[in-house]
Amino acid sequence: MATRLEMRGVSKHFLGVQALRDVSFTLEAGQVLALIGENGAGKSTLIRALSGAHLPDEGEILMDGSPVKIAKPADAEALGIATVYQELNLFPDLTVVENLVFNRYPGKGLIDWKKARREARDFLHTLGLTVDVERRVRELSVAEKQMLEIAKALERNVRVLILDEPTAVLGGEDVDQLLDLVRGLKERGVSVIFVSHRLEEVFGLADGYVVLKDGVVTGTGKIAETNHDQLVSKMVGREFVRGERTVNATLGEPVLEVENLNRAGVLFDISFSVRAGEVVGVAGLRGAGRTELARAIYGADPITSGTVRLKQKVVRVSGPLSAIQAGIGLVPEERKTQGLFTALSSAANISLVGMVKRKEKTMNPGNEVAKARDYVRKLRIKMPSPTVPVGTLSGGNQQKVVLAKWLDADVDVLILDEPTRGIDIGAKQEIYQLIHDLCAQGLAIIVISSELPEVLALSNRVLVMHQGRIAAELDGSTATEEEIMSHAVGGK
Amino acid sequence: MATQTGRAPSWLSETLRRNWMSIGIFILLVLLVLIFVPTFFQGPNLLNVGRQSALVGIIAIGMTFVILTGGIDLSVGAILAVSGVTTAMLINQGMLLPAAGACGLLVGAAIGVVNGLGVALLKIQPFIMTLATMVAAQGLSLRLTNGGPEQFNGTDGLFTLMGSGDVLGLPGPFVIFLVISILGILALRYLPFGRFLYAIGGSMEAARLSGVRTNRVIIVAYAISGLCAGLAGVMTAARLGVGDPTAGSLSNLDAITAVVIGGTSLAGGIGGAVGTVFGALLLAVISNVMNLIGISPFDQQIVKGAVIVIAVLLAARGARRRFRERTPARSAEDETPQPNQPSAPVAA
Repeated sequence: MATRLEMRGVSKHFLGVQALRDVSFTLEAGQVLALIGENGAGKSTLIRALSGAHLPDEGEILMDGSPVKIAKPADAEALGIATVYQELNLFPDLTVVENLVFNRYPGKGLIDWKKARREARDFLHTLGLTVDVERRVRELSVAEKQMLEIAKALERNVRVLILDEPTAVLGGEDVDQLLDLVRGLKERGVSVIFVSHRLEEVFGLADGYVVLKDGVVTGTGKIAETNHDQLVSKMVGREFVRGERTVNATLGEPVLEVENLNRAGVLFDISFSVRAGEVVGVAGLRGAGRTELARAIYGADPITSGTVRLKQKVVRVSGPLSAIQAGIGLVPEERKTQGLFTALSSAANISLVGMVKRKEKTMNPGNEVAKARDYVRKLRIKMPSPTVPVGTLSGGNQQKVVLAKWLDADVDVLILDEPTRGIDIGAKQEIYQLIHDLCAQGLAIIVISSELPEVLALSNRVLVMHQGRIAAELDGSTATEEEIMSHAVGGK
Repeated sequence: MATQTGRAPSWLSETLRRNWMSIGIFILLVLLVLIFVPTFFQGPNLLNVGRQSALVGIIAIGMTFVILTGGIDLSVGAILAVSGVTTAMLINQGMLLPAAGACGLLVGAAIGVVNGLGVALLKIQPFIMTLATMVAAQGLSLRLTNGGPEQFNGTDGLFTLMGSGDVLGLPGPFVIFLVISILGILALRYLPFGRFLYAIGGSMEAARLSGVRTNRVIIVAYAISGLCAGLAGVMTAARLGVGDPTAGSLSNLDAITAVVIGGTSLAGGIGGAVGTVFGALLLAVISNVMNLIGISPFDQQIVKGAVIVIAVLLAARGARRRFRERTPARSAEDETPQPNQPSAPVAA
């Protein structure tokens, strides 16, 4: 088989953070290569390097044996490399045919819609798709949209197709249909890079695999020569150092109790409790329902059934306001759009929730700034003044402002969703220390994180989620990254 | 570890820093006028400018509340007409003047509440919702009066003051404008409600997650805008002795112009009432000066259009520069591959 695409020693770093280090692999013609790794392992960066979004710092990319430079998306297109991202790039209010022929309209001057429809129908037919080409894309199922996106890519004579977690949002039958489509492409000689978290699929579809961990290739080879456990240990990569653990040993009474929490189609039968002074980690892969769980407890999304009790009292889960008044706080995943008001000052950000909770009638900007100074000192937030817009601070300092906001609101339970996402190492350690201090003060804390070392270092117990359920509850002192990952991918 | 430097800037310096563009343009203009149009500074003319700025200014203060949430209120001109007509008709039905005026205000607030309900609960875009109430309110005032002006007789101290009277040598309407401005500035600075407006304009989702009752705040914001427009309507009726169903047809645009010149972002979350006061004064000065030097009303409109573009361009550039000065060099984290974060689709 001829080598179609090769990466040799590709590295990419962003201002001090090494996203890819010396990545090498080959992709044969007509081969399906599974690209696997934990969240944040560098898969997206690798895909972007191939699709022209990032130019590597070092190393080379070869297409059919000759070096190529992919500096912009048009370069990738000219080489026949197409990428289908998880969030689709379709126009929802245009029809299937209008999306398919976009910018490549048949006819001279006036668009020959008759011809366009006929060609679109024939083309989709060769792929085994039977959608009505006159339907609006908005009305299609997720699976149909995904297929249409792939069809769009194929129209451009694609030689390497990159699918970024195409099955993450699909249900069982739809997945099968998509996998069939990929097998069909393979037979036509298209090479496919297939990103997936679901190892069952990988074993059913791929010929070869590349495992990334912290931007480094930790394993590559033929699928036929490996197994589930080997892949998981390559994804996790290294032994976790136990010494970093800092958890509170003396726990109090249960503060938060969640019982049979359900959200139709999203969360199923979730029950757990968190004691005073305890950190419960929530691990799982993208789409496993971790953020959804946090939002459900906090009342940000409606639940179908279940009860949430705080200190033995049932909390009416009707919205963030009742959660705040009961004493629950949420540090959301999207800091800049959900956790903070970037145009407002740190002082205004810090005081907002407490003001709401205490139902204050007036506010005093002077006191607000003085209070903010206190938190700035206590949490060692670096900023020129509490009056500058919080959007001008670095990520770590922004996150400390979010924490200060909840300290000011005086909560009993704090849910942190990816608390150290996009934060540099030094600030991360400080956030860990803060979480530890809060525990020592008797708060009950839930930490959702994609970084397993973080989960293990912080948590007394770890809940592993898989497809909206708690797949396992592990003891933080004995759990390993392998164990968590194995439950997270739905094995065992 | 160093945590902070310097004292907190005082409110005055902070206000000046935030509004330097509108205040600066205002002062520059006044200086130019001082040199080229000295007649401008004759006492009666200055009082005239104050009077001219009052109605648009009052409406613009209310509009500021709405625009801070990221909304817009196109219905203020029509509310002005309806509330004026209502007041006039109630007086003619024998109602006491203050009571009739209060009803005028209530009508304005009520239409504002309708706007707020549509925007907050029915999730109709503010532009569309207030356009709809604008059209309907215009129709309502024409229907109430059968298309003609509704004259009324009689006046009292309050009405005289609101219409054409003086307080301590200042025009009554201008004094009311100042009072409303101060109330607006205080509300935005000292009431949690004011902060909630900025929060909603900054990020609706973050505001909701912070426990802000976003719907309620939005409804109140539109009610305030309606109330201010209603006040302007009663004042117009008081001055003319007529409820004119066609009054105020352009005041929505003038008010939006004043707010925007005042540095409040149409996207919401940034700005304030201080800027709006200067925006309204600036508009009044410009049209007064053009009157003095004899520019035709038609040409005046063209100039006004140019002023809007120039003011907004300057303000936008100033804001960008300020932001860049204080933004640290792009930090590493903005570029790190983010777990869980959807990768941006690249247009192929």
